[in-house]
Amino acid sequence: MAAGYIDARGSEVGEEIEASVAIFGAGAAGLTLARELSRKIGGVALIEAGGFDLEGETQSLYFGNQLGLPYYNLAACRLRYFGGTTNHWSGFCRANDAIDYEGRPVLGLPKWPVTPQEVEPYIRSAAESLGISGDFFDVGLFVESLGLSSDELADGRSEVLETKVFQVARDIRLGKIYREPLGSTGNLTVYHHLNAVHVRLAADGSRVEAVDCATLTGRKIRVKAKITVLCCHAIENARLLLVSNDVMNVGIGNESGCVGRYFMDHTHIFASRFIPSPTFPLIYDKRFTERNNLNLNVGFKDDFLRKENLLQYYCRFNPVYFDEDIGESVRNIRYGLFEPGDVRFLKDVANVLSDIHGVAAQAATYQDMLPYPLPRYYKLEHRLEQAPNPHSRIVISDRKDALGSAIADLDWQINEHDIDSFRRGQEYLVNEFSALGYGRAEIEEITPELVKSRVSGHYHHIGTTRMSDTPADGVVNGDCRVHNVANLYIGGSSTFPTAGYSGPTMMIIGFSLRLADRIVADLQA
Amino acid sequence: MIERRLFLKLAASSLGTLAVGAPASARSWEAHFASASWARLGARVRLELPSAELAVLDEEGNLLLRRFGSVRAGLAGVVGEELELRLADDFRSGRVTRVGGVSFARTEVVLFLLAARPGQA
Repeated sequence: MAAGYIDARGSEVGEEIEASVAIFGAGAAGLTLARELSRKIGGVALIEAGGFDLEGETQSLYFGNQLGLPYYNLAACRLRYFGGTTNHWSGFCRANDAIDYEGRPVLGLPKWPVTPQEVEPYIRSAAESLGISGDFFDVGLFVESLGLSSDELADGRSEVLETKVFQVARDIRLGKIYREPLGSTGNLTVYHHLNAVHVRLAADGSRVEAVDCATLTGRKIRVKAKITVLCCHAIENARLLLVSNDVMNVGIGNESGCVGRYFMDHTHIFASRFIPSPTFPLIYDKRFTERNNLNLNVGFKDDFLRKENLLQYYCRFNPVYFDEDIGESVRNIRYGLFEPGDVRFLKDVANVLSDIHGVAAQAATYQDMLPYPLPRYYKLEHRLEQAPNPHSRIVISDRKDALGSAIADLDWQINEHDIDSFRRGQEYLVNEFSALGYGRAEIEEITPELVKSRVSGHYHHIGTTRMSDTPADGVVNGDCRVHNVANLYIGGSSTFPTAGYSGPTMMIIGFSLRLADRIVADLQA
Repeated sequence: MIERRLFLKLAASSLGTLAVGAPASARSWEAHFASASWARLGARVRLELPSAELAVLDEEGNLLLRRFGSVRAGLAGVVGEELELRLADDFRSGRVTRVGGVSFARTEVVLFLLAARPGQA
């Protein structure tokens, strides 16, 4: 173990830790912030609840019930150990679009209290730290750089469509990347296996005096710092603010009732089929682009989104070459899932032979010698930024976790804007693809029932302590400082007022770089 | 394990099937018309749509015929830029009709119905 790491369960630490800045949570936000601050100031403490690998007892502290739409297991969709949720991040990166910041009240999308121009240098630095190009904005150039033709993009032929590309970061397990360098800096001490359980405010509520922490072995440690930063993940940040209600009885920063509300994810549903014509651009075939290590989607230009009052919508085309029962037979034969003399083998062979063209076409997608075969149809995957919804929220339960702290449940909800944007997004997209001669669509009617029965998220937890100009509309200000609490900051995607189109991790890193500058300025002031 | 030559043959054959079975685009419409696939779609349109809507579509077909003469004779003139634009405009304006669950441009459906008239296919 590097010198700067201290196991809080041992005797190396007393009952109190003092720091200039105490950062809680060693995920994308906390690690970035710790690295940046320790380059500029001394006495920084990074406090991580878990250890350096998944540990059942610690991870179990994340268990919670689901009160709304079915969501992922809350103890699995976020990770409580060094590196945080980046430990299962896929690495897809894209910068927010300008439209994401501007606010569209008719959809309930608030304006960010920061401008894209101000944020852009930080996002570019984030991209650099992740080993990807900071040039996000010329899709044509990007596609050409991969040896593909930009002529295939629909953007030049359509007034409404825009192709959107995610880059895949190489360096995505931030816990492993940062562990050694952070341990060797003299300005930073990392305490692990230490859980924040209560944020203690001064009697007038204007400052944080300390954060009460505990280990699962029963130790209680108080952390005192000039500045406290919660980077514990969107659900946990809100939970900590809500359960710390001894001074402010509604919880910290919750004067307007926004803490824990507006929980968002990027959502998707599968619905409808698109039957391709021979002119369908393969660049939109999901399997084809993934073979080129590319995540490429098609959505709408900003002006069209504004004009039609649509949330950020985009679509992926998932190729289907044969029916699912034939797929099962192919898998059975491929993996030899038979006992000797099992006659089901013959049934599976007959099943495969009944659609040998489809099976062969799919097999041909794995080779480079022949033209890439078009599928029988594409299953449409509709993706959407979720509209901010006050009813989609974290709820503090009466149940207690192993540390005696109230457990957070999730009431995940979508609203009429989500359903409407799914419905019209599909309609506009398939009509435009049909108009361009790319094929014809077999449409499923998108109804509220269909959306609610199929909608899923992406482990992108956003919006529970959102930024706002005033305390009436959010929890933190444009600097990510909790309104009306002088020395409490929040890092991570819980501060994002809208979900936008892009995955949050690179944005989290960019905003954490910015937060580091704000905190240094605050200390110097 | 599938033998490699057979695999390539099957893959090539599959591509051919896809090309033949692909849906209508403006460029391939004449072939589709000649193969009577439009007529079959036209017959399906007659089964699926309510009579009031069929009457409107038939009237649009008559206007189209008056413009181009017979469908067959006018096809060479119809197929091309004008028809492509017309179809694109149908889709972009939301003038679509579902046949067998598939969304077609309204002009396409009119042509299917014309092709299904006795003596056309």
